Amino acid sequence: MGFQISDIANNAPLFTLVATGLVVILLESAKSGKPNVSFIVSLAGFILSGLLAVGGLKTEDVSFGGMLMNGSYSNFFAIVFCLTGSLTILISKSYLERFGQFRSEFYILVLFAAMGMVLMASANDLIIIFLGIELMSVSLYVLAGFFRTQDRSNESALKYFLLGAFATGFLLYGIALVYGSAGSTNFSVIHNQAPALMKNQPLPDSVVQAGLPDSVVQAGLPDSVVQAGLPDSVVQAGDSGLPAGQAGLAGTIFLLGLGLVIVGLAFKVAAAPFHMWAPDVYDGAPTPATGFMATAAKAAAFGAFVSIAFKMIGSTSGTISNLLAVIAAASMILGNVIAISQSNIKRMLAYSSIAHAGYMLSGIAAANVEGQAGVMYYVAAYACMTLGAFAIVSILERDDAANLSIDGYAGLSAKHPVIAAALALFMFSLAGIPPLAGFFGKYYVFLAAVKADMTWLAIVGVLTSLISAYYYLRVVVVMYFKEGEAAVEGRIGMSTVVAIAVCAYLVVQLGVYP
Amino acid sequence: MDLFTILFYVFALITLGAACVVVFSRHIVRAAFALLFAFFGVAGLYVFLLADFIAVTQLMVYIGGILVLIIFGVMLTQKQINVDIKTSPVQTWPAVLIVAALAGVLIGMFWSTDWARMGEISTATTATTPKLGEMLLTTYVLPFEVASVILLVALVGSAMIARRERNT
Repeated sequence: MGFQISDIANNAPLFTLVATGLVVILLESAKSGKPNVSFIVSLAGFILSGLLAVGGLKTEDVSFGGMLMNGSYSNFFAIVFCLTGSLTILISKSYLERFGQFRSEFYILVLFAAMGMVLMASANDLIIIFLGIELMSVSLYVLAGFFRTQDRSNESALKYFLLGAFATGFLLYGIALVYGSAGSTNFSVIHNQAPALMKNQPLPDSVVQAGLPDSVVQAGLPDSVVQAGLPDSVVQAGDSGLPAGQAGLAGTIFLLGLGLVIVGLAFKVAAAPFHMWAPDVYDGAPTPATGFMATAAKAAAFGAFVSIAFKMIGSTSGTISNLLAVIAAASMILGNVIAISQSNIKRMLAYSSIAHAGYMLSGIAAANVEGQAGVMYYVAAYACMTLGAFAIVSILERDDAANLSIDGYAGLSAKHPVIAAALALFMFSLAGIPPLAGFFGKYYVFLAAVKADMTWLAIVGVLTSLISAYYYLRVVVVMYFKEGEAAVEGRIGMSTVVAIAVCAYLVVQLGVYP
Repeated sequence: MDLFTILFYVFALITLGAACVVVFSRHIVRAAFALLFAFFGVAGLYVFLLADFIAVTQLMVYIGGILVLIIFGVMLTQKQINVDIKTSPVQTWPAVLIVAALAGVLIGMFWSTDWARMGEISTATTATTPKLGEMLLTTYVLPFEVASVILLVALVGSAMIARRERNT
């Protein structure tokens, strides 16, 4: 147990990010005011970390005494984070320069946020999930308020912070309850105990399985009955956490804890009904930071979500699946319907991100192998197209936060045909039009839902996708068929162009060769 | 009643009484000082649970750190010292519902717990602090280090937000 040298090699992407973050801090303090250096070093750190993650795809292992899980799953997410992180950095350069806020702290925060994300995706222990989420969130709170002199940015940071702290409270309380009932925070241990804990809760169908009469279960479970009528593992669960007489209660506490953990995570992915913060925060934060939040942070929360749903709970629980399905359906309906009425493009993308969280959640609710693979694919596809869209928004945004309305994009195709074409590509992909990446993402998660006998969820998904096509395509229509004065102020940063090109390439690539 | 039982009730009374003052007091400084006694009472209860490390941490972090921070905050925002804070109830019905549900759970726990069995738990005093320290640097070394990174990020972030505007 404990620390071994191989742990560092197994987690090379993680340690590269930490080391880069520390180097950037030191550089910043050594020669103050040279953000260009920080920019290059952070970019190099992200690329190196991403390459190491690609190299580590094959080795399946656990490290730090079972705290972290290394292998294809965690490294896949690490690649997504490094990609989005480096693209965010590329987008941010010209944007921050334009607003006179080109400072090293941005890169330090992005690096450490990415480190938190890698921790979340590779976690094999609830403690690590919690610490990863906190590391990511603290960095994002500051990134949201990066433009300290702007009221909008401050409002965004404060809202995110207060609501985020509250959500953390839920998560932590949930973790405490799970620990109390299962006797461990380790996923593998909890996974072994989950079936027993689930069966033991006083629900009618579980009563039939356990072979106990109703009255006994509800009468508070005398010791002898519990030990006689239930599998051995329950008694063990009692030994590890609570006295045997409370094993019945432990099941309820376990479910309650899981519910609270899900609330905390649903907040981080901005799924309804825990989405209220997203539009205001996305709108007020600096656009590259918004892009980072909407893609990498969401991907990280899903990385943790999938780990918890598949590695910790396992596919045994109908209750949890149904709960997730309801959250998914609510997010899809709410996100898409409200997005129609938005005139500000950042708010529109915020509601669309709520809807996409719903699509991805339906893959987790399906709780089968297809669902897991579908969510992973969807995360990558969604990250590319959304980040690309935010990159273009960042080009067009002006000083006074004007030109964020969708109508401001009128006539863009005449002035800047390439940018308009790229934005159209991202919008088509977000709407889920084949053969782009967005289509296959939806296809996989809905297929998983159908296979899990959740056809209604897939139907809700397809119908709401149709609704979403309306507001995505409206942007395209405005750009191409409406006369207008859309123009880019000043020079378009070279790095932003590179970032957009990479996003566009990946959207097509992931779609054509899924 | 032996000495332990009497002491337990004394600490419980301190905690509850001080907590009531915190909730009902209209004067913010008075509430802050009442919070001190509430924390102190809780630290005493931890000692009864043989959790020596948590008791000390409670004293150091809550009374030494957080409470002093609160009082500093109150003192520095001068205008607020004499402001009456609102203690009348708002949103009565949702609050009643939630409190009733929570009370139900707690009372349910109270009745269903087999208190007689609790006596079997060992009362031998073992110092928990060395064990905790050992665990932190072996099994839990990664969480421990990550926590330090979180503090570093919080430091960088707060320095960035709080520092004076540079004319660039």
